[in-house]
Amino acid sequence: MEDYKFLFKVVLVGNAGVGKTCLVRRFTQGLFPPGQGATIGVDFMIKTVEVENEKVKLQIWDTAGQERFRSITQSYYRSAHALILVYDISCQPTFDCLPDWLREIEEYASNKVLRILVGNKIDREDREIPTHVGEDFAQRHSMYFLETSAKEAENVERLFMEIAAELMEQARSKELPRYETNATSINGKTTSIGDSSNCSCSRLT
Amino acid sequence: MGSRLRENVRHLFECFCEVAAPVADKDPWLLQRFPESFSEEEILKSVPKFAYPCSFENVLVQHFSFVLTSIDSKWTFGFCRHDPKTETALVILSALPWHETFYKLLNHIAVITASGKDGDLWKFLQDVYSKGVPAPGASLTIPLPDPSVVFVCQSPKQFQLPSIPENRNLTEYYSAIDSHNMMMVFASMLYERRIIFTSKRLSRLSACVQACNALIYPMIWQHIYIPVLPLALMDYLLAPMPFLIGVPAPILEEIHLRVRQSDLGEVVILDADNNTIQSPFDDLESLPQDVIINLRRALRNRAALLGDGVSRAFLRALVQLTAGYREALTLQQGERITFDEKAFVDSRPSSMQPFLRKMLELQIFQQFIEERLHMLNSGLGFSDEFEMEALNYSEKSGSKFRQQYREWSYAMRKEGSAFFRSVKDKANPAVKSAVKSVKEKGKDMKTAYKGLRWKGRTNRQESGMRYQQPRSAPSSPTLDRRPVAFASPSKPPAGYTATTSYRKDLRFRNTAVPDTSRKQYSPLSPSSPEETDYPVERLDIDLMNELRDVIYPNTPPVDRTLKPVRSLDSLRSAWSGRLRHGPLPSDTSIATDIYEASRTSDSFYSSTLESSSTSSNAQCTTNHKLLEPGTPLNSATFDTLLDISDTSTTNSSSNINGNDTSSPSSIRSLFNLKNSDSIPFASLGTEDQASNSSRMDNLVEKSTRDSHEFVNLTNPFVNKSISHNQSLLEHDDDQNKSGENSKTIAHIVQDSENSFHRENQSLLRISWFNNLLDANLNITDPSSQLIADDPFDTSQILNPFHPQNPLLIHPISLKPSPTSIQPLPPLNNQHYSAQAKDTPEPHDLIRLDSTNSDDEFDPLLSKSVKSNSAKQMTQSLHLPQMGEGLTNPLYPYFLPQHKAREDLDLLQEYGLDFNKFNLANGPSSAMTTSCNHTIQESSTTASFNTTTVKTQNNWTKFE
Repeated sequence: MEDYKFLFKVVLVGNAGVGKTCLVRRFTQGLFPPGQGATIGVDFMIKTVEVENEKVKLQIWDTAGQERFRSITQSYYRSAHALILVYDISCQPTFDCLPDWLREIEEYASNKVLRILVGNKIDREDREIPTHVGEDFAQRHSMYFLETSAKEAENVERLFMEIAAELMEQARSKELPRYETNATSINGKTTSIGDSSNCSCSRLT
Repeated sequence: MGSRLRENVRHLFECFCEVAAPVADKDPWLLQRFPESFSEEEILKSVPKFAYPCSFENVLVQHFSFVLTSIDSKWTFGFCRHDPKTETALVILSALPWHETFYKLLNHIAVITASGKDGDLWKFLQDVYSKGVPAPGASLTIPLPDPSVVFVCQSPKQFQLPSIPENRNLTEYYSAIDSHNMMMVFASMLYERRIIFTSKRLSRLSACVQACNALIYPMIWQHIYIPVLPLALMDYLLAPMPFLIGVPAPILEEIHLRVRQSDLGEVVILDADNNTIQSPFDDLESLPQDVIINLRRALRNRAALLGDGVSRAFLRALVQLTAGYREALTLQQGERITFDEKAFVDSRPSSMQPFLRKMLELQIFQQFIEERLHMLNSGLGFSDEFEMEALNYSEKSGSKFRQQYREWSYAMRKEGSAFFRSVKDKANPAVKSAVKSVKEKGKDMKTAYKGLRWKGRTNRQESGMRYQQPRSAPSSPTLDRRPVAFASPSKPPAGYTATTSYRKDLRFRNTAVPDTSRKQYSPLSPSSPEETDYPVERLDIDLMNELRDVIYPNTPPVDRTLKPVRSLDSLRSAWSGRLRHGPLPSDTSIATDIYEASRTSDSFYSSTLESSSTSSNAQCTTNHKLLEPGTPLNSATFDTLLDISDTSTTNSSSNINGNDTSSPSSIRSLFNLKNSDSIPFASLGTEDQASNSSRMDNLVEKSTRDSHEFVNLTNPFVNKSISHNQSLLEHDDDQNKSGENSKTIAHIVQDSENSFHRENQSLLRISWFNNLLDANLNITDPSSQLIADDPFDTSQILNPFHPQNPLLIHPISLKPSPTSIQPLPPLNNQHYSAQAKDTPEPHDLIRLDSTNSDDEFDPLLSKSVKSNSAKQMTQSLHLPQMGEGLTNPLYPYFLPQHKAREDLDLLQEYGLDFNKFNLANGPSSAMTTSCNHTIQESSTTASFNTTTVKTQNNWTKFE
């Protein structure tokens, strides 16, 4: 068993071509296992980082072909610790799709997964979505927000480090990594399974 | 689009690969492929990994399938064949999920490969590859080097639900997993859980995963889908999103060692070997109760589960949940049709609404709705099984009687088709004619009951005409259900009438009618060499007739007639033996096999006898009360009883149920047939038993002279073959090679003791009457099992004339020929079909596709049949030149050594399972479920936190 204190699972969502995979590859840079995306339909990359002298293993899942979903439903990230929603700042349609992606999430907002909105490709000259628009959107939907450039490696490291730190803080408060953040049973009862309890999100510094 | 099957498939298969097994430190690697132009590196790189997912025990030939998912989330199916005798795996990659087709294709390729003619292989592959994909329902014919045979592959019909036993995956799944656990899995899939299936056997593993995906039709699993997970991809079990992954047992153990439980997270684990499921969720209980009740009831109605009954039960559950979606469709002017979620929920009964509200969140449901909307908006007609059922469902609001009637119709139709199939496959002219007349009667009945029929839609055939544009069909092909001539009259009266007339017909109509329903060879031809070449075997005849005398006086035909038969009984018979499907193998071959098997194990039988006799005392007593053994004849009957007890081990509950219901079915009809003077329907089995018993009798005389011991003698063998196939094979091999068999003995003794406990219980539970009912149906079970245990090489060592039993004068021993026994009654259908197996048929059509309705491919059956033949030909009789490759119409081109492999394959894949089948699905099987509810006690904190979710702290910029 590898030596790590926490394992966090992060799921990437967004339209095709927004640079999800580049983002992760930039972050993991050769440390990830050879991709199986082409044969499993899902790729994941692992990177172990150190946060406050604790080893934190980040497992970042990148779904190929998720574009066929018109929206992401809860079941998709139910077991994830964080959900990164990515759009391309130089491509308005990818931003316009965000409400679709989030539709179910907002409608049944009982989940407590950490959600981050990422505007990627800030290296591009032809920006179509001003930063504040993204910011506003994130705020409305209770998400963290960050703009990145996978190409220039700008904010990429930071994105994942912030996530790791935030998740660790949450986990620490319970001394356990979080799993099955919520297990809303489908008949309407909301049952909490696992240690999903302490989900109050503290401000990232 | 929700479907994950590719459209516009141009080739039947994408690529054929031969993969070398891993050696020492070297990973498996790709040896060769066809076509060479196939160059998808990612896929080619993955194929060896998937073909050898982990180190696994490969004693027998096995088939399994894996799935590769491309970037666009489409599936490529990999069909894999492992042969322990070779160092390679054969793999076919295809976009089509036609398991039965490709498994057979692989078998054929294996034959060509073994023949060493690479040219033939490439030619054959080229031919198949270039032919394209047959249109739905159409077939593809590939000429072979031997002009007398062709390779036929038929495309499955659209909208066919997977059916048992034609669909190999579903059959395997249903035999391994009881209905409660199937429902648990079903619910877990509807909740999109992270689901792990595990099994030691790759074939079972992949079959179960593939089958349960088919059972959520018209939904399609949208998430990670890996029917067989290679060791290298173990980390995928940590995926946070829903998955359905088949994990070979060794890998799962590895996972438990290497991964923290908390990292694995909450998963549903189904152990397909032990029929247990662990789930941290209450999914099944959370489904709307009336849906569950209906589903449970449907799955309990075992009579209707044959064919697509299982699939339909689950489909109806989904219909009940989702059928209302049509009422929630809205069409805005000038816009597309949309789905109003609120209207959908509101239109449904309030008891269901909470669930439906949650169901809207599910990916598979959204995909389903989107797919339906897409079809509507693009003007595609769609009218699949789901829509049909939905229509039925919404119509149901009418009178209770109408619904009741419809249920009856369904059941009737199913049983009717099963009945006809079983009868037809016997290929007896007399039976054929009887069937015809039954059909006519059925038509009469139809007319007679017209008044009862509801107005409006008359039957499903009619509505079937509306099928136009194929949309997502179930992911696995199924057979075309043979249309039944008489359309679903009200059940009870029609059933009686049909059965009665059937029996009557048999009594009077014995003339041979050419069999046109089956394939083009004509084993029934009077000029068949077997019929003329070999004399009638009197011994068999006498025993058989006397056996009937013994059995029948106690069983008034009236009772049998009025008692229901359950389709599943006949199904099980077909699996274990050859009753329902397809012709029986040559009676000679069976008898020979038994004989060989007994000789093989003779050396250690005596020791087995002693140990097993103690454990089976209870059973002996039971039998004793029922039938006083004394004569060899009685021994034969006794033997029959044994067989019953064997099957009853797994089937007792179903037997009882079957006799309690009042529906006509094939088995009862068979019995009626048997009652008629002209045709002993199950005479083949009887003969087998007779010969078997005579041999056994000798054995008994030699060893104990106690017929009780006789019971003990045979049972361990049967049971051993059921539950210890593999180990026995190994042990027998050891024995043959080393000549010392003490270990083997020990094992067998143990096995038999274990099995006896089971048998004792089960035997006590069933009545003598039931035994009798089943006697002739089950009679052939042990023989097919025996074959599995017959080590091939033993026959070479032992003298075919059984030196230890001088009293044995069974013709087989004197004349070990596949066709040495001439069936006594010329019109006996079983003999006819049996002969078909051994009749050289130069113009035999090879059917390679399961969808050929005439052929009624039954992987189990055909293989077990083949196993008999193979053994007989290659091992016991050493007559490989005789009728070689022609013993099984399905595999006329098979070389003997491959037949040997095939039968092993078969038995491994099905033999064990099918004996477990009824046990697993018995009403009490829910007891085996271990549901691990691990709801933790943090609910209070959870509610507390819910309030904090939307606090301002929740949103922060990273800046």
